[in-house]
Amino acid sequence: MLQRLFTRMGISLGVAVLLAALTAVPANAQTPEKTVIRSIATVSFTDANSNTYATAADTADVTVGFVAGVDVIAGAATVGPAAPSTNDTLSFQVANIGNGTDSVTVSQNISVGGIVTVTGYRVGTTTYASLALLNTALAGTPIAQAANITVKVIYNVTGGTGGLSTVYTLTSASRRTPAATDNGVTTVSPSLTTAVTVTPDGTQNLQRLPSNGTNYSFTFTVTNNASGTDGFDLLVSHPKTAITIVSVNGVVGDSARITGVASGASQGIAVVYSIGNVAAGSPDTLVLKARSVATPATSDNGFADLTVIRPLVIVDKTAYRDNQTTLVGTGTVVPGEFIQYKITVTNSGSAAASTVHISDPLPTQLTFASTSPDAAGWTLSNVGNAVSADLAGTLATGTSRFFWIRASVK
Amino acid sequence: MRKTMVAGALLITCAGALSAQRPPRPARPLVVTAQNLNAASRGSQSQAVLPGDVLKYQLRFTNQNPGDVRGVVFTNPVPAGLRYVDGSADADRQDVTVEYSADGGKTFAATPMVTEVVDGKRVQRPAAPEQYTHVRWTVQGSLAPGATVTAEFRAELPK
Repeated sequence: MLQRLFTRMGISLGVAVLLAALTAVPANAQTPEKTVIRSIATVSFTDANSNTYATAADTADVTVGFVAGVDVIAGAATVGPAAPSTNDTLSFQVANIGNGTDSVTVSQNISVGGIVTVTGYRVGTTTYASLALLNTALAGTPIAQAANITVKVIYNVTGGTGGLSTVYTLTSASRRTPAATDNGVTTVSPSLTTAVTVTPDGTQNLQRLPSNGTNYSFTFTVTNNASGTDGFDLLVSHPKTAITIVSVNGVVGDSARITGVASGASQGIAVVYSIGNVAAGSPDTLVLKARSVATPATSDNGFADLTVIRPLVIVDKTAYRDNQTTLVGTGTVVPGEFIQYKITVTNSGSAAASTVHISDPLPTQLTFASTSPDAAGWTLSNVGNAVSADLAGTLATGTSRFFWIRASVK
Repeated sequence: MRKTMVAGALLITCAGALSAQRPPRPARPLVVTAQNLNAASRGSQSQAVLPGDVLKYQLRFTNQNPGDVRGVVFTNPVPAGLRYVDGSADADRQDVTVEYSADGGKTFAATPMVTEVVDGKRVQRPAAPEQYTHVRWTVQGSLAPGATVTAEFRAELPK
């Protein structure tokens, strides 16, 4: 019956098929461009005597216009490539959600420069070296309604950018209606592989006197070997008791933090410390641990060996005949005879001795005559029989100096 | 995120509305016109229908008989691809009743019912307006020779 009606109304079979096809369009799909929507109305009536008449009919056709629609879907919200790395890809699906065949152009934006470098774009199996070449190809690539293409962005990651982020935005616009655009966004966050070294690692054999108010400083070198910028907690320790930590990198106490150390960069860390009043030869070790702020499990120790040193000065006094060569020994001296005392100081300790001073009150049976040094450096004086000697400079470890005191026997 | 933009310039071809542009034809008792209510708001002179547009269909019947007619009944299937706009069916006479079908024109009612299965049981509920398949207007009174009656309804092209 409907077919007869169509025939009577002059509706072609093609239109009828199109009308039938419309019913197959999914509920959520837009009616395709150029679709002819036909409305068919009929009217029936009778006369006053209930005689029936032929049903009248008419149609109204409307044609569906074009609505552009572009939908860009990023393959991933966030990616974490290695830094450095090459030939990484970002995938974007560009869908035609308009109601007719269209083609697109694409553009890009990278929020933070220096992290990634785009080297090409791939559609299907073809790689294009630039956006211009890609868009030239896309201009000749019609995309049917509800169809899509996949654009893969090929990029390299710059070394040392681990832990940083940049937002890559791919924008696609309809060629038929350029104002119809959409974009997909992927955040590129190169992974941060932490690593750190602290040097030196011993063998310094530092020799330190007890501080007695004087602090020492030792500088370690902290090197960031991570794939990106990192910060470090600096923790100083010492296994023995000779050392007391004063400050780390200018911060009072035994810990500090440094931040913003670029990949591959080194920073000197001065550790100020003091040495307690402990015995010569006491060992200790200055240990600096650098612990990654980004990944606290990553750390390294550097250390400096240290030994406490002190001078040990021994005085020897020997009596000689006036010729300075013959020992008096167990012999006797007689009144009026001149003898000479050789006063020798020897530093047998582990540190140089300074301000060496000797006091020698001669016995009352003697009369002071004179003094003579072994070499320059001695300041010799006397008050009566009270002799004093002061050695300028230092008396190095393992060395000796001496001077003579000449006196006569009463 | 999805953005769309209207473009294009297509024509509505309305047998009645564009009759002046066609060769002269005998007067017809029923003339149907379609008007795109959204075209003007776009500033476009085109009557092209775009997703989201609402079309106003007008059915005008003229009694071309020498005597009165009665039992005038308009029937208009909701065009395939369009959705009936709830409450839009109307007429220019008070004695017109409007009914709808949700089963392809087999049955009509002021509130058509549809059957669905709930918890394994078949239950009936009022059909949603977008499920209407047909609209029917019934004129209760008679029309004198040359008199007209106009019915109308609106339908939307889904987005």
